[in-house]
Amino acid sequence: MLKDITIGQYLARDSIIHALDARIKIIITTLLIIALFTIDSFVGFGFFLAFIFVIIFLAKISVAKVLRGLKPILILVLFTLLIHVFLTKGGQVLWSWKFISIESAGVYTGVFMVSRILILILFTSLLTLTTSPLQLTDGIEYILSPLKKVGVPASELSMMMTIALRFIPTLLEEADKIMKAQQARGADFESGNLIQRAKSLIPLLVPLFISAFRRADDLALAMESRCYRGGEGRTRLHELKYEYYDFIALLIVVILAVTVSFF
Amino acid sequence: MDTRKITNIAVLAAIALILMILIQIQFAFLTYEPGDIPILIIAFLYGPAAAIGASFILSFLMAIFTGLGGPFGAFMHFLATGVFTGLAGYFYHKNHSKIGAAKGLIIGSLAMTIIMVIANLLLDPIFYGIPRAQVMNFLFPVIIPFNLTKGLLNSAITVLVYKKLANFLRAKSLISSQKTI
Repeated sequence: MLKDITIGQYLARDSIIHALDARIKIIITTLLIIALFTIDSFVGFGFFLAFIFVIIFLAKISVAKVLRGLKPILILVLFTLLIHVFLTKGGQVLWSWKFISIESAGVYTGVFMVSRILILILFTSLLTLTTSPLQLTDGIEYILSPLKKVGVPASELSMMMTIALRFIPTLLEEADKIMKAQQARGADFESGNLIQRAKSLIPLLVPLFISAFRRADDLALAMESRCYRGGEGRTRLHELKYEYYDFIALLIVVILAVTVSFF
Repeated sequence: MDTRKITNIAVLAAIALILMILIQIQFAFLTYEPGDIPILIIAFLYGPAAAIGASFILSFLMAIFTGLGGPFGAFMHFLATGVFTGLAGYFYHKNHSKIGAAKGLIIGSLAMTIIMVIANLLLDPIFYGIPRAQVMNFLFPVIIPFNLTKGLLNSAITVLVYKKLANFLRAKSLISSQKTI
């Protein structure tokens, strides 16, 4: 079961897209998503799709890897498509049977909405494919840091994200081990109704929590003995630095976003 | 912020993500996952602000790790889990007892359901282009029962797990010796 789960999507490559600053990439992605919602024709989508292919090429990652990122939202996409095809009315009647009918407006809106969702997911998965989780949490810290003034502990939040990222593989393995150990004692996680399955979680959760609290304790001790004292004045091994190409990328995206918003 | 609080919240958020990945039960276009349970435990231990912070961390991790539902899914998840665990933590911290916990969990589940109804009505037309009238058709058969069941089920499991953890947490002096649930 463990090997079916791909944790994290980051693909390390030596490319200009990977070298861009994480903060710039987060801002760019946000801009593109906002621009995406101003588009109301397929021409704009065409521009974006072409842009996505350019990025994939520059980032030196395979199209198949990018497309795999679309798998988790397949059900949602199908559902949206079906709702529009069967329930949005207007235009010519393309097909009808008793009380069910498919009309052209439904098909058009369905395909339009699905394209938008897919492009949206492609943008965000390009961000996570080309930016390591650690860079992303650093980027989020910078972006949230203006909120420090209103009491949001941005550095602590990003520290927690970093620690969580570090412990996901370890605790996943632990969870797998505990599940196997409890199954060997006769626990059943796979069958029964919702309530039975929920109840069967308890013999998994209790040892998992205890083990996690122990690890957290050890880590806190290790951090304190290395003089960790919160975010203020913390120095980093890898500083985020803006380069000239970060601004070029931002400029290109702003121009693209403004252009597509006319379509 | 206390270093132990940082590490405890971090590992619990990691467990939440793991549970979301390992255990998924599909329910129409929504997925039941027990990811709220560790966040509820954070809420009981450290109060509402920590719970909302942890919900944010979880949603962010979910977006970058699994791509589950994309940024829109992550935002909805933050909204749902943040309201649910925030309220549960608020009421439990106001009244440290079984009654406080039950009140918080039930009000939290109800509030999460109401917020998800509002969010679906407001945001689905924007994100999926589904007209509001169509979203209305899904409120009673899907959205309301799903969120209520998810909230109450996760609440029940959290109470059972927290009870079993209490002795351990007391030994670690994470909860004081008088507090019971």
